[in-house]
Amino acid sequence: MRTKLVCTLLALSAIACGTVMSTLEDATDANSVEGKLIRGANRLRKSFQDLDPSEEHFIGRSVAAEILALPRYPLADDESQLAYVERVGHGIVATNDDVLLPFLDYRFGILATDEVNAFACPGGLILVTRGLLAAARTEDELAAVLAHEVAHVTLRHGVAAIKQANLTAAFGYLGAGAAQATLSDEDMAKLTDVFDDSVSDIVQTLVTSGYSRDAELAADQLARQFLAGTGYDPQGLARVLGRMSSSGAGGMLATHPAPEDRIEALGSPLAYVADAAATAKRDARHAAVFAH
Amino acid sequence: MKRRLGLLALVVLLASGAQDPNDTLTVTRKMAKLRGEKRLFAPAVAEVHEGDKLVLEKREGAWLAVQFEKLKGWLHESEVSAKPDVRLSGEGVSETYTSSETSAARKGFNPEVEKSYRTKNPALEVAFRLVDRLQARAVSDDDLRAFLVEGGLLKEGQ
Repeated sequence: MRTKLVCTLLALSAIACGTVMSTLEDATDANSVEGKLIRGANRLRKSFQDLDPSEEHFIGRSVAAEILALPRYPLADDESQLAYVERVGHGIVATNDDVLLPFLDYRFGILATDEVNAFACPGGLILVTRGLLAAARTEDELAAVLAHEVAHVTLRHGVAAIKQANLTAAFGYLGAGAAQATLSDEDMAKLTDVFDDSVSDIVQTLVTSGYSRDAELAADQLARQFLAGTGYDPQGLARVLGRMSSSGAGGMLATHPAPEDRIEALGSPLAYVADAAATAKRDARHAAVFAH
Repeated sequence: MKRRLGLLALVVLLASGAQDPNDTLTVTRKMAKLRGEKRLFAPAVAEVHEGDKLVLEKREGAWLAVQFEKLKGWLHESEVSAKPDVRLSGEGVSETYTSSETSAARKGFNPEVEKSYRTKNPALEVAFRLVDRLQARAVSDDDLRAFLVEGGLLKEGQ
C-alpha cells in the first residue's frame, strides 16, 4: 500500500512538473536568461531511464562492435540459419504489445562459436552463439532463447548497466552546452571518453560479470509471457534451460544464475494448449535449418 | 516479481511523459508505420519518421490513436515520446524539421559521438562494418506474416 502511494505521488509530481516546465518554456523567449535557464532545467537528465531511443541505438551499436571485435566471437555467415532466426525473433516482436520497439528495429546475428551464450545490446541488436542455437532443439525452444534476449532489451537492462558516474558525467557535458548549437571540441572529446566508458560498462556486464539475478529472472518471466503471446509453448524456456545445465562451464553459465535456479523461479507452467499439427510444422522447419 | 514489472512499466510511462488527448508527440524511431488498426500487422496508412510531430487523440492499452498532418492512425507507445526535448539522432529526421530544433534535439549520444568514438578506436572499424551489415537487414511484413501463418502462430488474413 505504501509503495503504491509513493509511486502515485511520484507519478503525479512528474506529470505536474513536466506540464509546468513545458508551459514555462512556451511562455519565455528562448534567448532570454530566464528562457535559457528553464530550457536548461528541462534538459536535466539523471539516470539511464533519461536516455532516449536514438541514444540507446548508438550505444548499442558500439557495444555490438566491441563484442564482434573480440577474437572469440566471430560473426557466422550462414544465411539460412540467420534468416530463420530473424523470422522467429521478429515474430515474437510483432505479436506482443509489451515489447519495446527500439529506434531502428530488432536485428539478429549469429556468433560462430560453440560457447553457449547470447548478448542483447541496447537498441535491439541481439547476438546469439551457435552453441546456444544447438541447445535449442525446436523452434519453440529457439523462440524461448530469443524471447529472453528481447525481454532484456525491453526491460532496458543494457543501459541500466552503465555506471551512474558515467551517466552523470555524460549528461553534464551534454547539458553544459544547452544554450549553444554544438558542443565545443573539448566537450566532444570528454563526451567521447564518457561514451567509451559507458560502452565498456555494458560490455563488461554482458561478457564478463552478467546481469543481476533479479534482472535475469525478470527477463525469464517476461520471455515466457512473450512466448505465450506469440503462441509458442512457454515451457520451451524451461526445456532449453534444462539442457543448458549440462552444457559445461563458461559462457552463459558463468554470467547467469544456475539454470536449475531459473527453472525453479519460473514457478508453475503457464497454461498452453498445443496444436499438434502446427507444432509438427515448426519442428520440421527447424530441423530443416539446424540438422542436429 | 509482478510488482517489480509494474514499477518498471510505471517508470517507462513516466519517461515518455504525460500522454493526454491533444498532447503533441514526437516520433522517436528512425521510421514507424502509422497503422490503420491497433496491431502491428495492420495495413500501414503512412510512414512517419524520427522527429515528426503527431497529435494524440486517445490511448488504448499500448496503442495510441494519433493524427499526423491530415492522416489518422495507430502507433505503438514505444514509437513516440511526449517529452518536448527528446533527443533525436538526425538520421531519420525529415527536412521540414527546423535546423534550430534539430541541433537542440541532437545534443545527445548521436552519430557525431559515434564518429568521434570510432576515430578514437580505429581497431573497431571492421566490427562496425559488421554491425552496419546486420542492421541493414530486414524482414518484410509479408514474409513475416507468411512465416507465422505457416507455423500456426497467426491465422490467415490476420
